[in-house]
Amino acid sequence: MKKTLLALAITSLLPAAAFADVTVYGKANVSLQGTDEASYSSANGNQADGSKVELLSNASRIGVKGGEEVNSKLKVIYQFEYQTEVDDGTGGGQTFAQRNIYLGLQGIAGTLMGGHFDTPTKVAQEKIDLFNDLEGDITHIFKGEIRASNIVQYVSPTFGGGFSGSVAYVTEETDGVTKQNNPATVDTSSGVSASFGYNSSAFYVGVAADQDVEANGVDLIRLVGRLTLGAFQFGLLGESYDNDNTGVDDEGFVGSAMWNMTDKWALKAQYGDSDVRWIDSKSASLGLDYKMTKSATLYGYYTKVENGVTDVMEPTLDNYRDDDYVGVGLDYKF
Amino acid sequence: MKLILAMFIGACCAVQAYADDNCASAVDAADSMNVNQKDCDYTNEGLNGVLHKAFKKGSEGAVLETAEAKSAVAPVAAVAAVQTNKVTDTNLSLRVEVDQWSNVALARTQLLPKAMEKCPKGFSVQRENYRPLPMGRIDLTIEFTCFK
Repeated sequence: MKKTLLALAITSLLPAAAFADVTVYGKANVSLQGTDEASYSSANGNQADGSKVELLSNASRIGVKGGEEVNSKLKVIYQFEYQTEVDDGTGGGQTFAQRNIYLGLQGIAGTLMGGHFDTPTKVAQEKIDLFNDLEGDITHIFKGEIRASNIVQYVSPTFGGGFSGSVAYVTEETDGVTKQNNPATVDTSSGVSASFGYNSSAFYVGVAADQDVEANGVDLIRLVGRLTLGAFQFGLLGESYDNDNTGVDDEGFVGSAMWNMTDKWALKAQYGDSDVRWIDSKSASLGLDYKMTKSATLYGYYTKVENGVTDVMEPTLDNYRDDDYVGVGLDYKF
Repeated sequence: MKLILAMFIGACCAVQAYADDNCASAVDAADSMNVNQKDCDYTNEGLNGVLHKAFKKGSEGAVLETAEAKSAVAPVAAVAAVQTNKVTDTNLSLRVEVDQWSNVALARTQLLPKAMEKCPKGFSVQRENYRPLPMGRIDLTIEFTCFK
């Protein structure tokens, strides 16, 4: 009884010779969160004040990645990653939603890849967002966190001990990010995202820019730095956003710090102040991680977010939000 | 914009210091989208380790080894893959990483039948070595001598 239907099914999908180069991976991240969201109007006072308890799936996913050598200097690489909602299984009507997916060729001159994946600007944030995928995620107060469709990217090899750069071209296809966000009256065009930085385990500095990626006429510059000093990690990110369509020109920053108190306990803090996504946004988070095993981490967090309700593209300063989130969760990498 | 530039210059001037250089987990490595990162071996890690144990390359394609899978799947949460470090005519060394002390006895019990597979006439335990690893894990190595 060595062969089973499962084995046959996988055999049909994965050539045996290539199986050794396949990495199957994933993680489940679920939290139980107390949410207290409040909306205020300067004209009408308190408009909504809702408290609730939520079970959340925070970017739980499963994926496969790997590669196969064509010859000693060239390799085919791929990654297929899908998100699934552990809490309710909905995921916007899909059991699995696409995350980073690409197929590429990697050689001594660099890597050329195409698919649906994070732009160089998004990737440039590196590890400084300590509350990634939670309410304190920088995507709630910044722009530029784009996973683009129909994107082709060149990544240079690492040189000089840690320098590398990426440049990506986002096509103007109608099913891509670029044209989706464009007003119908605005001429569509392709977008470009690029980054350059130096990375080591001790520190990282990077600069990244988007041109016409979010929409035609929208440019963005991001500067990032991370420093690891023994048990401490510090991160800074600054962003400048310029929208020629609306005349909006805003900036923001976020700073983060993590203290690995022991090999199991870590204390985290993060504060961001930005006008980029919302008017006068402020996000402050505190968190405590307990690493139960190499793969399982128990965590707790508190996040407070204040911002203007309306988007900067419709600058009505009438309404504000004042939200509090407290939760505990489990992150398991498998 | 001046504030952002100041932050960037400050970060550039930061002093390099000690930091961990271990391989990230497979999911974190994928999340980084860094195609230049060093190749890490995940054949003994997590779900990937289970699949690599369950399916081995065969002349007719992937073959599910159900007999081994039973012994491999059960302890995987507590014990990383068993590694055969050295095999001679009479000596054998088996090594395993254990996630916590409470699972050491289980890991040790699992090594003994594996030694019996390598030493069909029986064996004696010559030495047991315990070494601390990061995150509270334990490296257990048992050296055997096979009966002739």
